[in-house]
Amino acid sequence: MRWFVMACLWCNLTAHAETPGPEQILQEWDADVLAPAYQQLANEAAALTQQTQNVCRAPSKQKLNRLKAPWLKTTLRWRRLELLPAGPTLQSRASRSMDFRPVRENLLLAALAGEEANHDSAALGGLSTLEWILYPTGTAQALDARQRCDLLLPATKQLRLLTAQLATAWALESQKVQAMGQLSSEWADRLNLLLASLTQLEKQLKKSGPSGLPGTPSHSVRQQLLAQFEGLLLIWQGPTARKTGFSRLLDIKDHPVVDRQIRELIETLITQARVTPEHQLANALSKPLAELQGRLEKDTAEALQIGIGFNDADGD
Amino acid sequence: MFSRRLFLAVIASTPWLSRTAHALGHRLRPLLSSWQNPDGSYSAGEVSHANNAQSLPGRAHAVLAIPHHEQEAIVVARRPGEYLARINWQTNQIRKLAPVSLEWRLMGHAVFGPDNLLYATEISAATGEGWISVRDPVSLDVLRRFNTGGIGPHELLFLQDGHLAVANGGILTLPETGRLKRNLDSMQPNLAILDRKTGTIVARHQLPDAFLSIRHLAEAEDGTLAMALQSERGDDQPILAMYRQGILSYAETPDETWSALRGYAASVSVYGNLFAITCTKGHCVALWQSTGHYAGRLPMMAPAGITASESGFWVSNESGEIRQLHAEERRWASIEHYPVRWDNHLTLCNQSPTGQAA
Repeated sequence: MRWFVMACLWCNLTAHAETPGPEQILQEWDADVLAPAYQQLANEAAALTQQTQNVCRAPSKQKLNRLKAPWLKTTLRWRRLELLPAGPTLQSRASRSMDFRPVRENLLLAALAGEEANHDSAALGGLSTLEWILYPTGTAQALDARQRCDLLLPATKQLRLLTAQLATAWALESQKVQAMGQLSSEWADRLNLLLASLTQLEKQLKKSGPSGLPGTPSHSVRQQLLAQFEGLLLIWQGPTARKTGFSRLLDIKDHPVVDRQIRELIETLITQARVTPEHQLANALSKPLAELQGRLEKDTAEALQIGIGFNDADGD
Repeated sequence: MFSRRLFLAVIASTPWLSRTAHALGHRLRPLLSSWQNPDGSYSAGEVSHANNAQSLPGRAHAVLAIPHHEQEAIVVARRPGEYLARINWQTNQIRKLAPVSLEWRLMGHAVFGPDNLLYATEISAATGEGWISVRDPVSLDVLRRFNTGGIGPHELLFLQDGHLAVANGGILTLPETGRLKRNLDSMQPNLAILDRKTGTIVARHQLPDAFLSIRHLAEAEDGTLAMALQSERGDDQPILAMYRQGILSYAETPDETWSALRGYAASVSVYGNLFAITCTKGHCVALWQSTGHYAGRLPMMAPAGITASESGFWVSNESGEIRQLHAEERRWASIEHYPVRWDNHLTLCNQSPTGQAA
């Protein structure tokens, strides 16, 4: 009997010792999920830049088509991350530079004409601008291959530099967690960022109206949405083999049901993005997306004791 | 969370109130606000027609009647705002919806100047700096812009001397990260006094505590300007500062009161020389004389908007209530209920319900 009691006590102690705190979860989340994902993004952007330089040595419209595949790979890598623009991404305003939207055609044409630029340089770059150049419609069709390269070369270089800086900064981010004075505010910021991103996504889908999704020249909206939702699941729970992020935090705070409901909603979004006919996709996503926002805003915030009030917690 | 004690205090303070909307008839002038509907959509307009309002593209914040335009009001989107709307407040239908340019975001407030033009606080999407756009009240087109001299401008107010006061809250937000506060460690709020014609910054005043964000403004008959504050460092902090004859000071308050008010002033209004602040987190309306003397508080659950009435104040809350506060007697005089969540601001329209100037 005494051995049994001691064994139970040992198990109990070991279990507690193995339960990570919010600080350790944040460290693991950054080190195991976000840092590697940003490194992959940097790799894709570097490949895109290298191929752009190769193609633009002797450009032609046919050769430019070779850049579509690396552009899409880079875009999908970014989509997987963009719903949580936290840490170094937040500090450097990288979201804005990564995908400056909508494309400012007038500024791009002015830059080609050599006009003095009196605007923010982010407007001449970003993934949507690259798409506008690589999949020309409207005014962009009038550009010849050299002109497109004149826009592509600085834009891809900017993208490579930005993603490399992000990868380096995210690799160091987990070490900063210990120095963070207000750990709870970091979790609150990340929850707020997720909510802000989902609200933005919902707005985009609403704008598309009941009949379909906003068209993009590359016709890759479904792939991009799928990447966003798959990325969201990874961000939420980490790799399947080892939970981290909000999913793990809810576990240690004894709210596994909230976590499960959120994971199920994200999985619903992934399924809908895969199987729903494109013209019905915006409608099909709207309900689970709204429900997901509600679960984050109410259930998750309550479970983690993060205040997100209607009028009382956000400075209005 | 509402405590049992607070709940009992609220009930005890309101035993004589009508719990129906019959008090509506006592209101001589239209009351404007914005709100969230039961289905989650957002609307704005005259509060008694809240159940029959057109939905807006997103949550709204301030609503203000257009001078000399019968039954028309301007609705300002909540920050980071992407639209202005001109509505008919009698029908609560939208007459014009004006999306703001991609390079700018509205900050939730606007005011009409002596020139009858609309002055709205904005931020630059590129830099986050505070700006004021001067707009035509009908077309809503921008006529000119000038800098506010700070970050995170929120409410603005024309003073009796003709200058424009701007509450630069000091908190940096940017369009791509919504309402996330990006600079809490380095925020520098200020009260800026501007010349409306030239946009020149005449004066800038800072409080000793940089973590107190200056958000809302009201000017008393005696010229004292109240600045409603929101603390970014704990609850036990002042929520009201005053600006008199070039000097800033915190309002006088019994020691234990600041912590009860929870460091958060949602909105401020003035009746003569009596300031009232809605304390959403402190669940009360707190009162001060313009001399700075504390004048007590009345319990109310999660109060939000407030505006001066003929006999005191109208006050709204997140539970759909609209109450009348009798200023002289320091008591609630009436209560109405609506199935909506009122946003942070109320405006009493300077017109009769038919649109005639009152």
